[in-house]
Amino acid sequence: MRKNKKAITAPIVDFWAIVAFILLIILFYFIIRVSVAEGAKPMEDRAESLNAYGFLNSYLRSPVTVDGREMQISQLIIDSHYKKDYSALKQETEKMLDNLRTSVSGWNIDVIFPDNELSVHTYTVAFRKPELQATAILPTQDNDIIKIIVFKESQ
Amino acid sequence: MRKNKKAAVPVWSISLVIMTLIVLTTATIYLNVKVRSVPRVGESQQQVFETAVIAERALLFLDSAAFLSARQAVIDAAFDGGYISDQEEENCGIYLGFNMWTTEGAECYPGSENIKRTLTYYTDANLRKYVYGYEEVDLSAEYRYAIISPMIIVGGAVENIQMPIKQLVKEVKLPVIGVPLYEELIIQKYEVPASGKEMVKKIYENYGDLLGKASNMHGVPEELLGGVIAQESKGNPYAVSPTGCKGIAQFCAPTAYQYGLCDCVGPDCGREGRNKKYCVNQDDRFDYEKSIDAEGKYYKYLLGRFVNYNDQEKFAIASYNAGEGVIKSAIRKTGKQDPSWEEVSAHLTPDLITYFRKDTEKANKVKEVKTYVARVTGYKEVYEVTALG
Repeated sequence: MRKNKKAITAPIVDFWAIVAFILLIILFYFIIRVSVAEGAKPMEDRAESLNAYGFLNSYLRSPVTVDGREMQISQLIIDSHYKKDYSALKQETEKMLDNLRTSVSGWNIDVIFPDNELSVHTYTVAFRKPELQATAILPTQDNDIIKIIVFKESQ
Repeated sequence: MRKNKKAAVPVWSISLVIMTLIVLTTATIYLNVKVRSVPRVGESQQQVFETAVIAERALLFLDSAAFLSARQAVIDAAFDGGYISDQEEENCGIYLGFNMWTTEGAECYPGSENIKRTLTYYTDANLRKYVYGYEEVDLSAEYRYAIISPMIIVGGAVENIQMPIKQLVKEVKLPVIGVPLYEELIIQKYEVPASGKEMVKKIYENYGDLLGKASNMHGVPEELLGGVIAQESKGNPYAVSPTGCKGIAQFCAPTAYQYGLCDCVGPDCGREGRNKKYCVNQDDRFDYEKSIDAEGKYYKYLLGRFVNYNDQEKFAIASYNAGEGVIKSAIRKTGKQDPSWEEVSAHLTPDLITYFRKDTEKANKVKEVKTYVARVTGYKEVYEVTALG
């Protein structure tokens, strides 16, 4: 009886050892793949964020003419806060987005004044991915700040 | 022997699995470390781009801050009548907080040079308030300005604003953001404008003889007496300040009494006490000859009080404006045997001004003294050059 038992135990151990060996190989294959992919991922996101900033900068530096005065959008934002009149800003921003919509779709702009938030965007966004967002700040005459955020809706 | 062989089979299989586990774990850890430690392709370029984004953002903020600063500077300059607050001694005094342009015959309209200086001064002061609050990049550089047309102020940093490229230059720390105090912007060296030089020339022509006489009699440099007159009254013998000081050397009543220009009526004359009135029957402060002589006497006294200091003359000038006691207290505050004027002026604080009640008056007086010394020194130098021909 003892002899028979040993004869059965050895192949079972061999079988499970081979199974464990294969499982280990598979497991480590996925671990290595995921870790390499994780290492590369932030780089792409960071590049996306540069695109977002490029769009934000273009927006803020865009020349506009309001009441016969030539200025950049950034100046118009400061002036709008100063005069508490946001209609020209909204109008100019929408005009600019309309012009860009064919080539650069999906960008949205929020201008957050110390006492008011003005959103200019094409459609409602469920949530924003941080890597698809860029922010800049502008000073106000009362030493506060105006925050300008551009963001893309998450796909 | 057979028994031993059968027993060895499972040991071999289990050893294989354990060995595989060890090898793969080691390989994974090694690979992970290597993946993280070796910079990814494009990492450095990415950091350069990210730094450029930060710089671009800072530049946008600076542009906007400059736009606001210049606009506010126009309002500030208009509010102060073209002068820098109440620090300017060329104005005709202050009425209800506003600089006056005319007072009892004296005309003090700000010239275009004055207005340009005021605009650039306020633009810089305002800009510093804005950049102080910007945390991402240290923008507290030295900026210079020029007015290229009546309504266009252009400016730029004197040196490049530097910032390290993120992560690549790990050992470089961004300097702590700091901004010079408003007080530090007070003119330390006064560049006398052309109109000021012309005014000093007239003083030399009209009063040079009297100033020379007072100088010889009291042993006080003539150019110092001339510089003080230029600053105090612009050579106008009938000048009157809003605080009641009068004449070419702007003597206030108690000092005028001390130096024989005024009389005193009341039991407390010549001692502490309120029961007295100055300049009742005699007031010779508009007599420029007597005023210049009294100025010489007073400066002889003041210079004598600071004879042991290298900056003796500047301490005397400051005392003429703020009082000897105030300057002596500031000297004591430095804790030094022979402090410089710069060290003393840094210790000249509003709490030392005891003859004003309001904090704003005290603070303004402190600013005024610092500017006053710079301006008298500037005029003195011009007088010296003028006298030498």
